[in-house]
Amino acid sequence: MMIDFSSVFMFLAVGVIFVAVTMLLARLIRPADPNVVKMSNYECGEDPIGSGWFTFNVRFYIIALIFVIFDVEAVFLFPWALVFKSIGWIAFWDMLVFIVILLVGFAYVWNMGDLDWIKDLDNLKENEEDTVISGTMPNTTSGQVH
Amino acid sequence: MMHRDLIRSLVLISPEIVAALTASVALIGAMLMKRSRGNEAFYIGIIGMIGALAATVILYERLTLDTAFYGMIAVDPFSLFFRIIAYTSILYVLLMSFNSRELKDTEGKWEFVAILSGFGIGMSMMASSMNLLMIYLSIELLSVMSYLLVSYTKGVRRSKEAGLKYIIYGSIASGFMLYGMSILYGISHSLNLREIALTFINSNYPPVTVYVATLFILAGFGFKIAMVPMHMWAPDVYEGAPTPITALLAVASKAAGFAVLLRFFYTAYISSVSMTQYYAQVSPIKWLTVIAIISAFTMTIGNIVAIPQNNIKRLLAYSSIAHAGYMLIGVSIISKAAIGSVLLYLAVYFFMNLGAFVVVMVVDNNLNSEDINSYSGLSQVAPGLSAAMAVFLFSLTGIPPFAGFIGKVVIFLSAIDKGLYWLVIIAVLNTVVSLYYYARVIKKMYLETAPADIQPIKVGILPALIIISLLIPTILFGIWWAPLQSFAHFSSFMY
Repeated sequence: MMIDFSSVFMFLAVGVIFVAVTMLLARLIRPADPNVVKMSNYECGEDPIGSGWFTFNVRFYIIALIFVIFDVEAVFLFPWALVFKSIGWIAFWDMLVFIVILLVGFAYVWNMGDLDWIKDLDNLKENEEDTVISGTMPNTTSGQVH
Repeated sequence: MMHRDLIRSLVLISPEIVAALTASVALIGAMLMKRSRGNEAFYIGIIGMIGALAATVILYERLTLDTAFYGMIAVDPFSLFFRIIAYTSILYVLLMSFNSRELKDTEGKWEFVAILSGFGIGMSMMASSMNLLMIYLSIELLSVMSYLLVSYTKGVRRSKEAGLKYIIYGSIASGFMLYGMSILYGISHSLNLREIALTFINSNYPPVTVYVATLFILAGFGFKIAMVPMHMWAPDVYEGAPTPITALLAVASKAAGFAVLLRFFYTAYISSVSMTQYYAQVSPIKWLTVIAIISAFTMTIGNIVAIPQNNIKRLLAYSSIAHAGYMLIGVSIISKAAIGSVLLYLAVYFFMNLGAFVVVMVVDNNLNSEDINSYSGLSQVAPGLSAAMAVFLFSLTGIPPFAGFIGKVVIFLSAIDKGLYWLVIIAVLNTVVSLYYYARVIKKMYLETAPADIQPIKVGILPALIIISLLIPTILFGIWWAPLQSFAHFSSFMY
């Protein structure tokens, strides 16, 4: 058993040594020339505006969650399509029920207004500053949401 | 052929189909009746849970030791027992919610019912899973639903804090469990519990790795049953959650944790080896001793820390940790008889603990307080309620005429059979310690005088009926336990 784990240990050790040696070597031979452009954060080639440390709109996560649900649905549909012929009509009805259940959830989300980006215009005017920072400023958010 | 198998499998999960339908109907109801503050949703939930219970009872008629969906889930007396506990406890939670002060003004009552139905599905799947992936999925389903339920009351910071703490602890615990499962999969090349057992029989495994993997998996299961050292979340979460949900966590979530613990150990580690060898087959380290030591720590820490508590929900939280310790005695022995005794204990614990929480909710509705001091002189304003609370607390201690005594005796006897005398001595000493803090509440109710400004307590018809329906089995099974014991023994049969 120890022999089994010795390979893991070797892997770990080589990994640590490799990174450490490379960093040390680079530090020794590279020119030290810090400037403003070099020290700035990398943001997909765009100029960063402001700091990245602010509250994100929680609706990003809701949209992401809904996306994941339908992603999973697609994952289930592929193997289903593969064995559809051998199972027959019962597979069709099974999948129909599954999709209808998902659609009930989707209808719920839609109905409750969770898909609307700006929920309430009066609310927007009152908390203009909050909403702009957290949701609708394209420059700030585009670089952050990978 | 495939056709028939699928239809047969669908019949075997009919209770879960009913629960899923309930959840869908509740979501549609939420869309049709937006911002409704009425209790229509609870009626739908109650109808759905009664339907699921009926489907479970029908399944008893056509019972065979069998698996559904190509060995993914097992349908056996063991799983049906926990399905009954799951849907009955949700039924009780819905009945309690009619009168709960904390849930009265919540907006999303329809969603509440949908989430509770999901909880029921998760719990019954946990008791039935034969596959590591199914076990993980059902535990996560149960967990996510409990996180939501714990922080359900709007604008109550205590409740949000509890939910957040629960999520953080829960994620770490399931991370551990998943890591352990992945190691186990790496060793056995199978996710099916039976095939994992086969690997152990062929003894082609590195013992220390199995030991580590099993400890990790035990940590994940132990989180659900609040086993020391994975018990830290319980007091805060129990205190912050609305009382009906606290009752659900204390009764149903714990039962589900024991279900998955028993099935995992019994199927993967025990059932295929000779019954006398117990854990000896799996690794050089004695599992019996490991779980017995954890059990001793769990009950001792639970009972001792319960002594200084002044909040009744925190007190019951520590008491539930201690009860997990008593039940772990049965898990450490894990023979057929021991599993039966754990199931008996769970059934008894269901009645008495749920009853105690209903009384706590009624007192909280009236006095707006969970402090033990507010129970002073309760017997003068609410004699019936105090008598019921006294019975539930005495039963939780294990005083003879009540059901809790039978549960303890049966578990201790199975430990004596196996020769675990030291554990039984610790457990009996712990019972004595527990009498102190349970009796403290009873002393407050009966021997202290009520403050002059105490308001009269209105119990209401529905809570009174709930309490009576829990009080009868608590007393009855203390006197005449044979039917419950034979049912528990029958339910210990696993595929």
